[in-house]
Amino acid sequence: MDSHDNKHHTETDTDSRPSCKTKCVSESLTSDINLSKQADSTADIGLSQLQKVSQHPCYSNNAHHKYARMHLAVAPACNIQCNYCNRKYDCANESRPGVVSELLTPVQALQKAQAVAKAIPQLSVIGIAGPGDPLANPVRTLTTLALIREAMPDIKLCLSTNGLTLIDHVDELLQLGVDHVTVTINALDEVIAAQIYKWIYLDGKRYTGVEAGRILIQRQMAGLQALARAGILTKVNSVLIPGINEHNLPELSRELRRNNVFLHNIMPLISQPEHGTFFGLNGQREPSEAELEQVREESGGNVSQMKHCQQCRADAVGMLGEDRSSEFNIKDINLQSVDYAHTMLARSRFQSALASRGASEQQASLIVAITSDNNEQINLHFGHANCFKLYLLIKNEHYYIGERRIKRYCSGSDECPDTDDHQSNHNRNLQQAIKALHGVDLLLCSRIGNEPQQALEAAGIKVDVDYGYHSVKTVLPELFGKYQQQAKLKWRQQNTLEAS
Amino acid sequence: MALQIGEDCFACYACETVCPAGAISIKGSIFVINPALCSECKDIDIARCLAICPEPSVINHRA
Ligand code: SF4
Ligand code: SF4
Repeated sequence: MDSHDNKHHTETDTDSRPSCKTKCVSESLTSDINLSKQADSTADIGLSQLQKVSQHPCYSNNAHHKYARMHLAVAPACNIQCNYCNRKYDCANESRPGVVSELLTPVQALQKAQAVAKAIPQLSVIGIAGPGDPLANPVRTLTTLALIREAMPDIKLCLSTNGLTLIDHVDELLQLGVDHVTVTINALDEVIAAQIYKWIYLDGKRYTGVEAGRILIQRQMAGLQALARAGILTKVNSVLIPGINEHNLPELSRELRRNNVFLHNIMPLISQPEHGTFFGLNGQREPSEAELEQVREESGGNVSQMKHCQQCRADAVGMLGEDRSSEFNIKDINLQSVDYAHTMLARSRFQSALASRGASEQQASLIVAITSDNNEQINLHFGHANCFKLYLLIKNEHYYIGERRIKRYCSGSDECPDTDDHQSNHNRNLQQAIKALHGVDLLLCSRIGNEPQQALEAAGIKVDVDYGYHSVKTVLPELFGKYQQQAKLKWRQQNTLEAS
Repeated sequence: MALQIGEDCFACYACETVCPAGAISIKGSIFVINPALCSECKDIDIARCLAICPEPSVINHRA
């Protein structure tokens, strides 16, 4: 996670984008901003935040045609009883009511994730959304995230939660490189909350009524603040319950803006007697289209509104609006098939072809990784990077094609204590980085130690520190000339490999 | 006297997740409490499994 992303205030002009070639990316950013009618609500979001958004199918209006997401159902338990939810089924706010997801163990979840990443190369985001509350199942959820972060560096991680125990886990989420968190918040007022939640369970105790509402809201807000400090992109979901929270949601939206929340997604209550929910059985009605429009309108000036949301299941797979989860049952997945390095290579090749509209399949090209905390300058020491931005170079054209992430074992300060423990952390970081950079031809960073440089070059990754503190967009167009021999060699090898 | 989970349990995993004694596990399609491990949560007022179960009537004191 680039915790420093936040600091960098960027206008959303063409020049500050990672590459003017990433046209769809910029378009989708613009459309997101226009949604809110007030572009300034996103003005203090750094560029890399926007980049995160632009590739996330649930967040960006445009990305949901190009990128796919997947939810892994590893988290069955819940610590809140919402009146719109019947725990016999999946959570009603992230899922279609009445459908129960296939529960996976963390190891099965990783296997499924790898199988899907192989079958759907557009897969860019993996999330944990249920079927209960992911953070009410901290062991299952965090183990799954850690397994994926370690094995699948080219995947973004996200998580949905009701926020009750979020504050207890933000540090771990940051360490695991979770990009996006969605918090479901239905009220800012504890009396209103008391009409929405039957009870909450916290530290061994059940709370009800206004007290439950108060504790929940307090902890949700503390969680949002911690996410903002950590630089984790945050979205809030709210369920509009007519007659209960329609006046509280615009107020909530104002509060969200103060907490750096990027999107506020207001969804209609789903409430039918046959779902067996408290609301459904007690005649609570669903909002009309017009009511939903109105509340979104009243809230829209505060935080961007997301209008293309499909309420999807806790095990949804595929592009937003389609669900291919039935194609990927765990019993059909070949558990021995895991060679992710190979898959990752094929995925970057797919992304390269997509970004360059096929050009990367027709001529010599290179994949360059850069280390940067702002996507503008090559300004990070190799040892301080937990995220590598990947670009495809073809002649003087360059295209942003994704990123690779690693989990950090040490804080990476310049003055590392010279203990054995520390040494082994460094080795783990290095091994992970080499694995994550599989398929990358060239690494640009501001500085690098001798030992890591040798290890990278031994793994076939050239390291170049000549461009430390240079701007990404001036370096990339000039770089191809310097490395064209390497590009041609790679091109030849690739073709001989395919011919044989 | 340990607690007992009835047949109406719908296997939501909540009690299993919070039991400090590791006494709860799935058996077939419902969860069961191992009386040898259950401490009845004597350290607090209400047993944790009871406090988190969405259908608390499912969990009873053993007769
Ligand atoms: S009473 Fe306490 S120890 Fe016994 S099963 Fe329930 S949670 Fe576990
Ligand atoms: S919390 Fe209740 S319903 Fe859920 S698994 Fe335990 S006994 Fe069954």
